[in-house]
Amino acid sequence: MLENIISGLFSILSPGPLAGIALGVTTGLVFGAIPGISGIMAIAILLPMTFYVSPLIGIPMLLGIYKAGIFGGSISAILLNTPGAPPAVCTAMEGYPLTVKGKAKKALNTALTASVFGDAFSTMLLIFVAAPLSVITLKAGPSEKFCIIILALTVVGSISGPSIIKGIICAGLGIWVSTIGVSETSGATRFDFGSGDLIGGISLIPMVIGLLCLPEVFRQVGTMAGGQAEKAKLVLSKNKDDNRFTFKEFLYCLPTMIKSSCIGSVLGALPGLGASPSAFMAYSEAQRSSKKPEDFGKGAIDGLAAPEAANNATTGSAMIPMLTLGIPGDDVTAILMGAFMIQGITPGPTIFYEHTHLIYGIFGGLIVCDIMLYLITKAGFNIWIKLAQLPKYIIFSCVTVFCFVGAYSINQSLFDILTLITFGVAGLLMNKYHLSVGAFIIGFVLGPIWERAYDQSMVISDGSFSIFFTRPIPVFFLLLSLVAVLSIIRTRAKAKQRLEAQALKT
Amino acid sequence: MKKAFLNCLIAALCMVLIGAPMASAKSYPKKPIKVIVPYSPGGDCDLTSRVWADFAKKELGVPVVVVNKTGGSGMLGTSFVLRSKPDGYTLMLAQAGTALLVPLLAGANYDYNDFTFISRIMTANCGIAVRKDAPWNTLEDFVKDAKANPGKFVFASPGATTWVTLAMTNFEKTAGLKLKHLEHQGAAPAITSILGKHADVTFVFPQSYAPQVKSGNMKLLALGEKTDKFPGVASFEDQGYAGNYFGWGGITGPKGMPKEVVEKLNAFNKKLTQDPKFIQTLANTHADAGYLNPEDFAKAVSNQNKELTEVVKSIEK
Repeated sequence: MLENIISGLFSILSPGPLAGIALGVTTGLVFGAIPGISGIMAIAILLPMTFYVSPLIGIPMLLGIYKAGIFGGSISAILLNTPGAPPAVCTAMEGYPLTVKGKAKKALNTALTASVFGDAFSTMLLIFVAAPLSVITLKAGPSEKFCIIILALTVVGSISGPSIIKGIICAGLGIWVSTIGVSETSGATRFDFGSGDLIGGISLIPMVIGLLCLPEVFRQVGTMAGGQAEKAKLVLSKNKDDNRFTFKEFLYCLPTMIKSSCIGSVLGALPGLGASPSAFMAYSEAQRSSKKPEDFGKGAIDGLAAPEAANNATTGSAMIPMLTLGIPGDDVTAILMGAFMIQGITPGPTIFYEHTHLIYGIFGGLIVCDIMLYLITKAGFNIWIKLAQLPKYIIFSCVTVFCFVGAYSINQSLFDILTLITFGVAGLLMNKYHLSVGAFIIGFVLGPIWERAYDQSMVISDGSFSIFFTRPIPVFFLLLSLVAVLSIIRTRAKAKQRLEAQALKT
Repeated sequence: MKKAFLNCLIAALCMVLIGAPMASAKSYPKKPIKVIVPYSPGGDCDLTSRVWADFAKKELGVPVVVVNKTGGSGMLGTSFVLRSKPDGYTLMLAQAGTALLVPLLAGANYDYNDFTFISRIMTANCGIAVRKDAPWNTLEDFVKDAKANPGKFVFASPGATTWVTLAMTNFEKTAGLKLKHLEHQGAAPAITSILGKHADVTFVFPQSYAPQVKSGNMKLLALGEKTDKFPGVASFEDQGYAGNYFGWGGITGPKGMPKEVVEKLNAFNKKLTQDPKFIQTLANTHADAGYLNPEDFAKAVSNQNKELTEVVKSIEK
C-alpha cells in the first residue's frame, strides 16, 4: 500500500498531468481575475473536456482552476477595487488602499504568499488527516451549524465601518433578501410579488458583481468626469521595499496566517459554508487580535493576509467530505464529484482502497498546483500591473462589459441583468451613506444556511430552544460569539478613545 | 429554345418535388441541439444529460450542447424549455421533480401536459437507507418500531419539494407511521445527517446510497425493485407496499413537436438504451437504462401524476 501511495504521488510528475495543471491554473487565474467572470464558470466549461482524458490529467486541471480562481478574484480586488466574488471583499478593503499608496506589488505579493500558505496548509491537512477531519463534517448537526453561523455573523461588527448599527441593519437586509424565493423547508414561495423571476430568488453572482464592481466603475467615471484624470492613474512606489513582501512582514503575519488557515480549513470541511464566511471570519479575528487594529481599512498587511489565507485554505478541506464521504461541500466540489463519477470513480469511503494510486496522484497534483500557482502568478504580476496601468477609461469599460457578460452567462436570464443594475445602483447609494456592502453580502450568503439550521434544529427539538444550550459544541460556539462581540465593542471603544486623544493633541 | 427552357423548368420542379420530402426528413437535425438542465452542474440530471448529449452528438451528427439554467427548484429551466419553439432543437431530460412536482407544489405556470414526451431513457432504483448499526434489518422491523414510537424517528428529507420526500410521505400514510421530517438541501446533506446520527432514516437515489452501502457505512431496508447489485434487499412490493418507488428520467421537449422529429429521436433513444457503452456510463452514476416509447412514457407520467396529486391532497388536509 505504501508503494502505491509513493508511486501515486510521483505519477503526477509527467508531462500530461503537469500540462493539465498549468493550463488549469492559468485559466483559473485569468477567469478569476476578470471581474464578472469566476473560476466556477471555467470549471463548468472545461468539465466536458475531462471526459476524454485520463482522470490523472483532467481532475488536477479542474483543481488547478478551482484554486487559482479564488486567488484570481483577489487580483482585481487589489488592483481595481472590484472584487470578483464575496471572499475577495475583505481583500479589497485592505489591498486597494495599499495600491492607492503605490504599494500594489507589495499587496499582490502578500496576498499570493498568504494564499499559497493557506492552500498548502489545507492540502497537507487533506493528505494526512482527511479521515479524522471527516468526523467534524458528521458531528456538525443543525444546532452546531446554527451556532457556528452566529459566530460567523459577529464579523459584521468588524466590517461595518464607523457605525455598527448600520452594519447590523445591512446584515439584516441581506438575510431578508436571501429569503426571496422558494423555501426549502416548506416549499412555500416568499416575497415573489407574483413574479416568476423572483421565485427563483436573487442570484448571488449578479448581485455581488453589482454591489462590488459597478459602484467602483461609477466612481471612476465620476473622477474622470470631474477632470481629475491625473489622480486616476495607478502609480507604483519607487521604494523597493514597497514592491515586496519582506521577510519581516512575513514573520509579523505568520501567526495570523496560521490562525486564518485553521479557520479556513475547519469551515471548508463543513458542507455549505465555503470560502466567504471563512474569509470574513479570518479578517474579523485578525482585526481583533492585531497589534495595530487601527490600520485596518487603510492597508493593514495582516488584514490582507488573513482573508487570503483563509479563502484558499477552504479548497483542500472542502475536498475532505467529498472524498471521504462522497458529500460535496459546495457547488465547485459538486462539479468535481460529477467529474469523478463520469470516469467511473465514486467518491466515498471506498475510494482510498479502490483507487489508491489515482487518489495519491491527485494529492500530488494538489501540491504541484500550489507550486505552480505561486510561480505562474508571480511571473504574471508584471502583466497584471501593466494592465492596471492602462488608462482607466479602457480598463473600466472592459470591466463593465465583463460584468454584464458574466452576469448574463450564469442563467442566460435578463432578470439577472436587472439584478446587476439594481444592485449596482444600490451599492452606489450604500457607499454614499456608509452602509456596509460587506455586511449585506454576509447576511445574504449566511441567511439561507442559518434559516435551514434553525428549522432543522426546531424539528429535532420539537420547538424547544434548549437544544442550543444543552449540547457542548453549540454552547462552545455561543460562548465564542459572546467573546467576539465583547472584544469588538472593546476594540471600537479603544479606537474611539485614541481618535479623541489625537484630536485633543492637535 | 423556349421549349427547352420550359422542359428544364419542369425537370427542375420535379426534382424539387421529389427531393423535398427527402430533404425535410434528412433536415432534422441541421443545427446544434440544446439540452437544458434546470439544475447546476454535477447533479444526476446534469450528468445524465451530458452523457446523452455525448452519444446523441455522435449519432445525429450535429453539436449537442448542455446548458444549465438554474433557479426556482428547476422551474426556470423547465419553463424556458416549454416556452421554446417545438422544433426539436431545445430539449430537456425531464424527471418526476421537474415535470410533476414543481407544478403540483410550487404553483408553476406549466404542468405535465405542456411536454412532448419523446422517450424515457433511465430509471433509478431508489431505496430506504439507514446506518449500519441501526437495529432494523428489514422494512418490517422499522415499521414496527416506528408504529410503536410515533414521532420519535427522524426522516432526513433531501428537500420538501422532491419526489423522494413525497414518496416517503405516501409510504408513511400507507403504513400508518409518524416520522419527523428534517429538511435538507439535497441528498448529500441528508446522508450526512444520517451518518452523523442527527437523523435515522432516508429515502434517496442510488448515486447517494450506493457508495455508502458498498463501503459498509449504511444498509438498505427496501428498494424500488429487486436487483442483483444489492442481493438480499427486498423490494417495497415484496414487503407488501405496492407503488412507484423508483425515479426516472426521459428526453422531452415543448408540446407540439413534429412527428418526424419525435420519431427520429425516439429511434435513437431505443438504440441507445441497448448500447452497452451507454449502459456502462449510466452505471457509473448508478442509474439503469430504462426505455419507454413516447406513448408508454406519456401514459406512465400521467399515471404517476394522478398518484402524486392524491398524495399532495392528503398531505395538505
